Amino acid sequence: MNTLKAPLFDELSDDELVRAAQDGSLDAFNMLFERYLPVVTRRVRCVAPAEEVQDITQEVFIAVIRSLKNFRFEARFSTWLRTLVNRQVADYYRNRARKVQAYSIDGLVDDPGGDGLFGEDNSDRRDEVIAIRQALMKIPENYREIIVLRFVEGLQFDEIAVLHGQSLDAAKSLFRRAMKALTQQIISGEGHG
Amino acid sequence: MGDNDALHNQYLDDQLAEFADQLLKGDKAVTPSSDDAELRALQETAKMLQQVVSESEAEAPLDPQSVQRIRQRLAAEWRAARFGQQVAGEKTTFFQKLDDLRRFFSRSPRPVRFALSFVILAALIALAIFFFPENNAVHLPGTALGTKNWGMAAAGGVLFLAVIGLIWSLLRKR
Repeated sequence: MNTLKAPLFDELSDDELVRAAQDGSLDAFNMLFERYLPVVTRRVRCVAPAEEVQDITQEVFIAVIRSLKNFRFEARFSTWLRTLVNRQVADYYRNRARKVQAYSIDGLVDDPGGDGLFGEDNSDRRDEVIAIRQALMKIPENYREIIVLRFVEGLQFDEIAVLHGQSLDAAKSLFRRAMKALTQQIISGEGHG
Repeated sequence: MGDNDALHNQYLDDQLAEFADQLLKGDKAVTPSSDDAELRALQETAKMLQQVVSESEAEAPLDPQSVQRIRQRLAAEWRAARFGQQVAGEKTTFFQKLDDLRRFFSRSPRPVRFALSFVILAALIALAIFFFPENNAVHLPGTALGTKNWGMAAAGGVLFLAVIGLIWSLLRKR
């Protein structure tokens, strides 16, 4: 497996790449990195401050390296990777909450989180981003998951239903409940602000 | 009553899902317009969410240098995980060390950052004074400053730059 040339990896499935990586092929891991970097970055960017995206993304792939040997192919690699992303983002907020507590009681995400993203002229939009990010982090994980899957990862509702092992109607219903929770969270956040 | 509620809920589920589908297809004409107030509020949230996600994707990609830095770090991590420790003779690059330092610094609590900044500042001032001692002064006739004060001037300059840098970095973090 290690003798495969890097270009050939392009054609391998995720599982084949994971097997090659588990066998010690850095090229196979690199291909997984290439394949999933955009997905991971998009997901992280949606819920974490812009200046932390690089670090959290890096931590996700370090976690992949460290736990790759434990991957047993019981779930899809992309599903497993999602749980690693969620864990790293949660770790980030846990660490951050400890630090921020001294400065802000409400401060799960009190950082503007996108200094480079929006100029001063666009502070309303920046507030919107912060409000949405804060709200996303405060709603239950299954709600956040379906919103991120649809809006950030672009999965169709029928794909989400298959992924969750539920009917299409159930997926849509979960989506509406999630959006309702998000809306309420945004409104209550504005009330506090 | 129960059946009607269930039907109404399913109708709302379908409407919101369809609205989200249209939004994500890039249909800019789609606007929150339901007669149902609750559904309209959810459509507005969906629209706001879609705009935020698409703008943040478009405006803040990871630049190639950042990706390269991640790649280098992962390669080192891969070798460390593979061989249990850092490969003998292998050296981390200057930029990896710098990146580690930056990460450590940015994740430290603010008092620690202050203390570290103070120590670095003190070290820089000490170095400046050491390299520009008074008795090494060269007499440059006509200079208003007087060369005896070169050491202090340099120390003052370093102090000024360091304070500006510190203020800038603190403001930037906020």
